[in-house]
This record gives sequence, C-alpha cells and structure tokens, in this order.
Amino acid sequence: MKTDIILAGVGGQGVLSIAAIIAQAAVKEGLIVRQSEVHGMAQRGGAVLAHLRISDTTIYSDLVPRGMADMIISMEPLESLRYTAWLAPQGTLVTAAEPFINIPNYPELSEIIKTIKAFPAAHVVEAAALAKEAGSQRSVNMVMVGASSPFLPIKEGTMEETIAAMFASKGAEIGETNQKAFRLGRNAAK
Amino acid sequence: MKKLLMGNEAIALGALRAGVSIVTGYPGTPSTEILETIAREAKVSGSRASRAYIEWSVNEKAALELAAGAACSGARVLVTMKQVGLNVASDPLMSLNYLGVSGGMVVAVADDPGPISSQTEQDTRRFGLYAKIPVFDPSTPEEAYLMIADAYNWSERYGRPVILRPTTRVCHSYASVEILPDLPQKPPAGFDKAEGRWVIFPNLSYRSHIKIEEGLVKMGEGFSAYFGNQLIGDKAPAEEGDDPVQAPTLGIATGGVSYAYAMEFLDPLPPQAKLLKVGTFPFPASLALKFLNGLDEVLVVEELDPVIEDELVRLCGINQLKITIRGKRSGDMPNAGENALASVGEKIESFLKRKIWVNISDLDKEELPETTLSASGLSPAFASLSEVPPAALAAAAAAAAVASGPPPPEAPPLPVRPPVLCAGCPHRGSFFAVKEAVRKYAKGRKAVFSGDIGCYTLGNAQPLDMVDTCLCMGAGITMAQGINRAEALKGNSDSLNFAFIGDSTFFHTGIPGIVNAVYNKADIIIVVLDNFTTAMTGNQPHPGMGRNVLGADAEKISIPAVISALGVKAIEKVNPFDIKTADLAVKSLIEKSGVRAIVFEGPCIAVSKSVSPCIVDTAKCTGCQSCIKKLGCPAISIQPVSAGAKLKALIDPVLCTGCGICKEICAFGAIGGAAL
Repeated sequence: MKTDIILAGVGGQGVLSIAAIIAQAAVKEGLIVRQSEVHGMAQRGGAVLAHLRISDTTIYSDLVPRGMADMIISMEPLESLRYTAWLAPQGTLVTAAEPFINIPNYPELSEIIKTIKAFPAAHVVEAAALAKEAGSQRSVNMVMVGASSPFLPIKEGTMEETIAAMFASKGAEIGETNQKAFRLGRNAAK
Repeated sequence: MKKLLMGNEAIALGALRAGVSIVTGYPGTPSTEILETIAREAKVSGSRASRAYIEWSVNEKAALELAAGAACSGARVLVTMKQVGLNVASDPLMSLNYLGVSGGMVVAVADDPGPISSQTEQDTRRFGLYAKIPVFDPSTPEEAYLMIADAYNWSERYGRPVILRPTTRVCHSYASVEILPDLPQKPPAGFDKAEGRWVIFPNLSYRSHIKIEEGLVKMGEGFSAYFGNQLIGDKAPAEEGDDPVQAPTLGIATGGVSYAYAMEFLDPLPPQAKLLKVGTFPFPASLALKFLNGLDEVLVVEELDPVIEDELVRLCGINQLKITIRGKRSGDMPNAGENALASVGEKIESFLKRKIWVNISDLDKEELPETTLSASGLSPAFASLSEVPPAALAAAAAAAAVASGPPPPEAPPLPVRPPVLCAGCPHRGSFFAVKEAVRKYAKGRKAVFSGDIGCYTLGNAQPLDMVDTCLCMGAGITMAQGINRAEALKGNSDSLNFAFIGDSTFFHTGIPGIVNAVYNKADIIIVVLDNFTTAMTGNQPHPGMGRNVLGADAEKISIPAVISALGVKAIEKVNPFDIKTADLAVKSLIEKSGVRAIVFEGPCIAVSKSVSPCIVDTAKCTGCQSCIKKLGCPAISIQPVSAGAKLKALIDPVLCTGCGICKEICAFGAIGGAAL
C-alpha cells in the first residue's frame, strides 16, 4: 500500500497544517510517512507546495514522482492545477472552490473550475461556506482535511483523534469547530 | 518509540540525546528549527534541554566564538546556521580547528541546493575539505538523528570541531524517527589554563597542522567502516566450480538526499550495478576502492559541488584505475540546482541502459516541448517559484500511463504567484514613503536603493521597485557608500544613496558599516526597517526586542540610541503607517548631507493584532486602481461589483489587517473603516 499526495495552496492558507495532520494520523496507524515542504521566502503569499507519502513499506524519497500522485489536495483552485503533472491518470483531485486572488492576472475562474472538473476524480469543495457553517472561517483547512479523508488509507476515527489532539491546547470550542469542519468536509467529498 | 519529526527536530533531539549543553546560532532557512526545537524542549522542566544554555546569538561569528569558549572548557556544544552563515563564522572556525576543543563541537550548517531560500549554492562539504574539518552528510532525518551523536564522539576523539551538513530536503523533511534512550552526559570539565594550550601562535599552528593532517587520514580510514557510508551490491567474484556470478561493471555513487532519490529506482539493485553511498568526509577511500574494483563506469549523483566525483577521479588516478567517472565534470549531470526524482531517474536509467521506471520510460520525450526537457535537470518537483509545469507534461504523463479513460484536460496557462510583502506589512509604508519623497523632493537627483537580507528584499518587486542591490547580511549600508563614492568620481555630487536594513540584520552586521560611514564621512541615508522581530525566518527574537530565545526578559537595545552613539547626527524616527509624517521626515533627510538615518518602527503582522479591516466605498471608488498600482497590497484586488459592472477596488477582509495605508493614499476618500 502506498499513497502519494501533493498538497498545494498559497502561503498562509494552512497547507502545511493539513500535511501535518494527515502525516500524524498515518504515524498513529503505524504507517511509514515521509513529507517534504518549503519554508522561508516561499511562504509570503506565494505558491506553497508539500509532498506527502504514506506507505506500509520503505519509502526512500520524500518527493512524489511525477505522474504518480494518488491525490492532489489544494486550498485554492488555480494552485490545484499547478501540479497536475504529478497526478496519476486516475488520481483524485480535491480542491477548495474559492480563489485566492493576490495577483493581477488571475485567469477566469470558470475556466479553472471547468478544467478541474474535467479530471476523472475531481472534487470541488465549497470550503469557505462549510468552514463558516462549522463556526469559523479559519477552519477552512480542516474542511479540506475532511474532504480528502475518504481517499486516505487512514481510519476516520484516527483522523478525528489526531485533530482533537492537535487542538487540545486551544480549548473545547475551537476543538469542536475543527471537528465539525472535518465532518462537513468529509460529507461534502464522499 | 517512533515520533514524527522534521529533520531539524531530529537533529536537535539527537544533539540533546548526545548530551549537548551549550547551543548557539543565528536563524537562517533551512537551519532555524534546530535551535528552536531545543528552546522548545527547554520548557519541559527537568529535561536535559532545560539545563542547557541556549541563545540566539547576534550573528554566526558570535555564536561560533561563544561555543568555542565553551568547547575549550569541556562542554559539548552545538552551533547552528545556514550555509551563508558559515561564511560569517568561517574566521573563528578555521582557527579553532588549529586550536582544537576539549568538549565535542558540532557545527550544524544547512546547505540549500536550488537555492530555495539563499543567495548561493555553496557546498559545505567542500568548505569542510578546505578547512580540514570532517563533515557528516545525512540523507534522511533518521540518519541525521543518529549521525549527530556519532559526530560528537568523533569530535572528542580527535579534539577538533566537526560539521553536520544537512540540506533543505533533509532539514524540512518529516519522517517517523525511532527515539533512543539518552546517552550519558558528562558535566563540562571547566577551563584548563594549561600553558599556551588555547593561544594560537604560529608555532602551535604548525604543530597542529601536522596533527590535523594525520587525523584526517585516520578518520578517512575509520569512516570506511562507518554506517553513514555503505557499499551495496558488492558481490564476491565466482569461485572455481561455482555457477559464474555476473560481477557488476556499473557503479552509482551518491550521497545526501540524492541517495534517497537514487534508491527510489535502485531497490532492488540490478545485478550489473553496485552502489556507494558516501555520508562522511574525509572520503572513505578504502570503501570507495572496494566499490571501484571491477567497474567500467561510474555515475555520480550528488547536489552542489562534484565532491564525491572529484574524490573518485583522484582515487582512480592514484590507483591507475581505468574507469570512466560520469558526473558534473563530464557534463552528464547538471552543475546547478537541486536534484529531482525525475531527473535522477532518467540519468540512472540511461546509465544502466535499461528500463527501471515504467513511468519515465513510457514518456514519449520526443513529443514533449523543449522547455520540459531542459528543465528536467533542475527541480521540477519543487519548481522554482517562477516555474509553471507545462500542461503538455500532464497530458504526456497521463497518455503514457497504462490506464485507459479520457485524457486529462489541458489546464489554461497558469500565472506565477511570487511571494509578496504581506497585507499590513509595515515595510510597504516605509518603501512607499521613501519612494514618494524622492519623487517629490529629489527631482533630477539619481537615487539608488541598497537593500539587505530579509522580507524587505521583496521590496524589489513592482510596484514598489525599491531594492536595487542585495548582496549579503549587512552589505547594504556599505555598498551604498561605495556606490556614492563611484558616483562622486563620475562627477555626480548629487547622488542620493539609501541603504535599507532590517532590525535583526542591523544587529547582525549592520553596525560596523555605520561606523565605517561615520568615520570616513560618507554621504548616505540609512533606513532601518524595524518590525520588532526577525520576520523572514519565522519571528525569532533579537537584541532590540527585550526578550530572549526562551521568551524571558532581556536587555533591550535601542536602535536609534546605537546609531546616535555611533556619531550620526541626523536621525528621524517615524511610524511607517503615518505616511504624511514619514514623508516630511524623509524630506528633511534628503535635504541634508553626510550620514543620516531614519528608523521606521512598525510591527510585523505576525507579532501584532489586526484592527478592523478597511472597506471600499464603491460609490466613491472610481476604479482608478492607484491603490493597487502604488502599493501592491495582496489584500486589494479589482473586481466588478456585480456581473458586467464597472471594476472597483475590493479589499479582502480576511487578509486586510487595517493598516490604513491605502486609506491615506486614495485621492477620492473611497477607503475607510480602519482605525489608525
């Protein structure tokens, strides 16, 4: 069993937190994990990318080979298309629907969405609305963790435990908001 | 017990396990989290880290010298920095190797192939060879965790400092690492005044040099049996009467993260090949000779300098081995940039002349656009910020695959999304104020803007376009002086030379440049961008903040007071969000001559709270876009109010911090809502 994932988004959207939660949950299940990410200059409003590989046998490289990713998880539609060269032909593409427009030449959104939906296993999630429903706009990335979770080799319960542990220090309310965001995201993509 | 750790965390925990008791460093991507992890562990009461002394030093030279003092007193010490930081610390390190240490010293220097976040692609393995200091080069976080403990043992055995050199892909890689029990920790013996032992006179250096060379030979021999160096697939030649064993004739030599990339294609190793993994320098020559035995050709897969390659070439020369060594020198591998899976796979595949990876073999390279192939030697996987993988590649990869189904769609051309100054960043106001003041009050004068290392290097982007030079930490102030001197020689006595420098960089190496300027009667305007933190590397404290690495109170050093004490007479201090006052302050300095300084004091958005966001009054907004064109704030976009309607400015309420600069510059008073 091997699941290779590309995570994308814009600096500040919580892409690395998504990677951290999935990786942590995989370790909890006794799986082998390798993850790679970029820090520093790249974080300031620029495109952010992380590679995450989960397996039950040895993983050498923490970078996913081109054309081999089982899934792309993206916090932003344009960014989800930036790395489609890494996606396997029948790979899953899960992206938040809302654009993050901090560049003057952002393409026509409807074109972007149309391209995404043409992928064989694409899920465009209304993440901002679901986050709001969960109780906080800041829980968008947890909605996306939820939306990607049906396609991960990790039990739902383990994901929930990991999220609970991650927000344990931030109080019950924030913990519950994030759990709710996770569940709403999961239902949206199933 | 296994724990999910970032490479830098693994290095930190490995050092604590080995009993490190003094930790110093200066932040720099990708090394920063090593020291931060130790500081975090120090908050656990009773932990080994809580008994250690930890500091963010003012620069790498100070960090290394402090650690040198401690290591001369028998303590196990760790010094952390990035590769360019080693340039700053190289003076004490070169000499310390001659002086020696009594406690183990590991200098963790993170290299940055790519480079992803650095000025240079220098190779610390090469620096180690030049400085005659051994280098440990881990290929994974797990290996780094184990290697650092060994590094302390080697350091103490030979009484010399040792370098641990991870690269970005090890530093910022996460893996589940087996946590081992702590190793015994000895308290430092204390400083021994033994006569002349710690004073570096030429006579001592001569004697040390002999010992260093002897030590390097011994270490090279020892390293041939060290776990960090591995020979895989070395089959014994067939004995008479046995079935003939095909002896490998092709060899792959690799190290660091390239080893992981190579193994992705070489597990199991094909029978015609053997593999040498090199994880230490001085080079494990006897192991390498065993590897070379019987080979016709070797492919060397490494990043940055051809260090392994050169060692193999040398070994072939000394031993008169007729083996072709393929690598960077032969033009087979790229000289610059980081390695990526795809390029490593392609090279190994063509070297072994067999299909090893269905995905690569099946790609019909003829049909790929030129750009795809030329980029393959660089880093497609983590593409530089400007790279947009061609949509054709996606199509080709998919078409090549065995799976049936409709071909994936062609993505529209994707614009690059470069890093920018954050919405609410105080530097935006500072740059804007200087730019406008120069435009208004220095008509006809040539103004050159020297920048420095930090977030504010991003001020070079449009529309601000306020960074003309950037070299290395602290160089802005001194380069501005040089540009001014050259302009004067050219006959331009009216040259305006600004030097922008951040607060942490000011303390790091900015101050000597100011002393130089005052002493030599320079004509420059120093602009300190004080955002109360070391922002670029993730908000570490510095001497101007009144707080230390553990969050405890510290002496707060005033930047304007330092500048004044250095003899600068004209000093202004302003709030970068107060554009009008800032404008007048810059004007007053433009009108003066000599060394002048302005200190912009405004907090980084990462260390301050947002106020309510600004709002555009769409009735008043004319859609002139001047807010966007002047400021380049990522929170402001231009969008139709409704489908088909006229374009108006729109402020993203989540991104906007309410800094209010746009409100001040809107000529139509169309922006409101933020409290200043």
